[in-house]
Amino acid sequence: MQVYNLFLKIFKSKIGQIVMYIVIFLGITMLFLSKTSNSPSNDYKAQKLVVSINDKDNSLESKLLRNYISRNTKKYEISALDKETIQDDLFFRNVDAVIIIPKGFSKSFNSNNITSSINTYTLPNTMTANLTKNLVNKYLSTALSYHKQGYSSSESLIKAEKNAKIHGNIKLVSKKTTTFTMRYYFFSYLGYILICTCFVSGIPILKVLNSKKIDARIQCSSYRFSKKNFEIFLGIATLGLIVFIIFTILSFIILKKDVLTINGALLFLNAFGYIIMVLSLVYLFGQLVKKDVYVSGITNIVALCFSFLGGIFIPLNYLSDTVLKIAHFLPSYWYIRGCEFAENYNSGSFIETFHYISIELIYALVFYLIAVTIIKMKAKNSI
Amino acid sequence: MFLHYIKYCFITSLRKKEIIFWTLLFPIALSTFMYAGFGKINETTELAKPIPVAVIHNQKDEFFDKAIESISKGDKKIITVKNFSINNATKALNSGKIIGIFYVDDTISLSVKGNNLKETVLSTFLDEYLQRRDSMNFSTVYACKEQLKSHGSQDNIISNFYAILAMTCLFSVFTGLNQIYTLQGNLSALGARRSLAPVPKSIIIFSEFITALFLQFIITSIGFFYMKNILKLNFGERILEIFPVLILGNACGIALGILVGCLKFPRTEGGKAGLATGISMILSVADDLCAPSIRIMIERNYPILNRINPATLISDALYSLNVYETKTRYYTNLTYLSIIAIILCVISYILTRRNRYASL
Repeated sequence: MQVYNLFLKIFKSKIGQIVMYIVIFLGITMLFLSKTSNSPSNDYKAQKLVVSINDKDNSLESKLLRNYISRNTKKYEISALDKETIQDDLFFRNVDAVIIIPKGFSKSFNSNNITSSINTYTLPNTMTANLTKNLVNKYLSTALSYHKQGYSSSESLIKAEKNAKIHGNIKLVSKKTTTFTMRYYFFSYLGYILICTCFVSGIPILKVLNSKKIDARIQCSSYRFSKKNFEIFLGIATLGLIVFIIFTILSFIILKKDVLTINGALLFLNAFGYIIMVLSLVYLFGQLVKKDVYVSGITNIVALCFSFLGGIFIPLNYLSDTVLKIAHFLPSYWYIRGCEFAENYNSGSFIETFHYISIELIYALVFYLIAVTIIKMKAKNSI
Repeated sequence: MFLHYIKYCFITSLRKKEIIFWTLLFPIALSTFMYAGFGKINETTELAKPIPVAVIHNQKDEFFDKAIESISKGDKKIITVKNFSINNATKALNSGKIIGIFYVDDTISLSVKGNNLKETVLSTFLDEYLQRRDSMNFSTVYACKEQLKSHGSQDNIISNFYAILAMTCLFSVFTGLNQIYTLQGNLSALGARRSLAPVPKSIIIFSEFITALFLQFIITSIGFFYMKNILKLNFGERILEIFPVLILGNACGIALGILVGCLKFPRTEGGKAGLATGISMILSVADDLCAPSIRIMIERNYPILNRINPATLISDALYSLNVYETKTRYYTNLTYLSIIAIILCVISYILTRRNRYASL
């Protein structure tokens, strides 16, 4: 088992890099904790805009308007009201709109002339800008119509608020939500980190074993070719198993009981199919890479390509049609489809998971066959 | 002698394939993946474009039809009505071809698939219609006066590409590191030979710095033009002003690389490269390269960190050029970048001057 032992010896020297990627993975996972929801909701809830209100008028009318806006939006405290601060907060989407009720608003309202009486800061041509303006315009239009009918300013504003409480019947036809659970994020990001960890640890080992000197030495020894290959296969399987066990333990620590469900089991199965594909890809690049300095570059390019285009970093429904078409050729796309199915699985047949795993395994086979072809071509050229 | 050094430094730098990869190919690949992934995400999720809907009439409602007509016509139409039968409309809703279905019965109801902005626009329209029918008020007063008239792009996705440009500038650390590595007698054989050459070190260092800066500036500019002309990203109208940012950003990167190379620890080339990569990545992550809002969080809690992070200063300079009307913040960022580059160079000079080796 000399080749296998050598494999493990080099693997030990790469543990530092694996730890680094685990730390990155944990960082990303924790970052997305805030974006998760535990269970999809069956009820429709309109999105509330994030609005910062500043009342400079401080009158009864402005107070009623302020209260109405506050009740229908999420409050945001802006640090300063200068143009640059507002632009910063709007650009980084901390706030959807900044509404300033200027001095003299009550006077304008009482004189029935409220056109352009409220100052707004919104992002031009966006839906949030239209919704903000619609919220204010609709309320004040109704209030003004009551005021014109003879109601006092406060009465008309109160009546307008009462009117604004009329809501239509809105049905949510799908239980699917756009926010995912922590479990989903964990397993989808696994698609990125499995490539990184397996590549940075596996490719340099194969590069050493395929180097001219060592390869020639093994060839002229009494070591059989098949035995060498079997031990390399064993080494790659060990590498995959160690990485898989590490992330399984991490999943139990982070997700706790969430993985002990049928959904968790399907996600694990899907991840297992994916890691076989990744190991096959490692074997392929192990035949191609000639210098250690290229490993990091290849790892990053492949991992980022699979992640950005395959739906790991960005949900599939946000990808454009062209990108989605390209994504069909990436194994990460099928892995993510598998994750989505496993995450949303409630009851019935889970054969679809095996459908995705099969595609991942077909990719694994294709990569392996390409690697074998390269080995044969190399052997032919060296004769 | 100066020109001789510049020529050979340029040739050797071009042969460093790994440096060319990390400073040119990697940023181009990363920006392409990012653009493919979410380059136009705001166009579909934020911009006010007509929302496709279906209207299923189980009975007539003239008021509602008029209301639908009023928002589905003109330049600023809110919805586009698609003609579907009830079964096809449900299928279209499930497949995402339409966002909502209005059912006109005794009461009007709406079916949607999610809780996003587009669905909110539709539900707000339905609420408004019902409220107006209740109050019998069909007039609209435009009470809001928009105050923001920005000349630049408000698409915040561009900040990811600012971060990539900042990262590219900081990846000049590898060039700086390589320059100092081939200069120090105790680090490389070439450095040892150069230590014996009867040429003042100031000439060597200066020529190498100028060459590295020129090369990195060209590389970063290629990356920038790729983003601007191939990916068609909107960097605003002030394009010429972007180049001083790239020059100073690269100067900071190279100076940082030289400083890391001059440090007594770590001693090996790998160790120094690891430290340089670590520093440039930490600075880039703090500039929102990997996740949004880190820069804002730092600005709120420890603003001084953003003033000494070259990556943040580069991104902020590009952002201020695009968004603000005045250039005050742009010049402030350039000043900070210049100060950082000078300080790093001075420290490196202090660390390397009068180095003597007992044996090489």
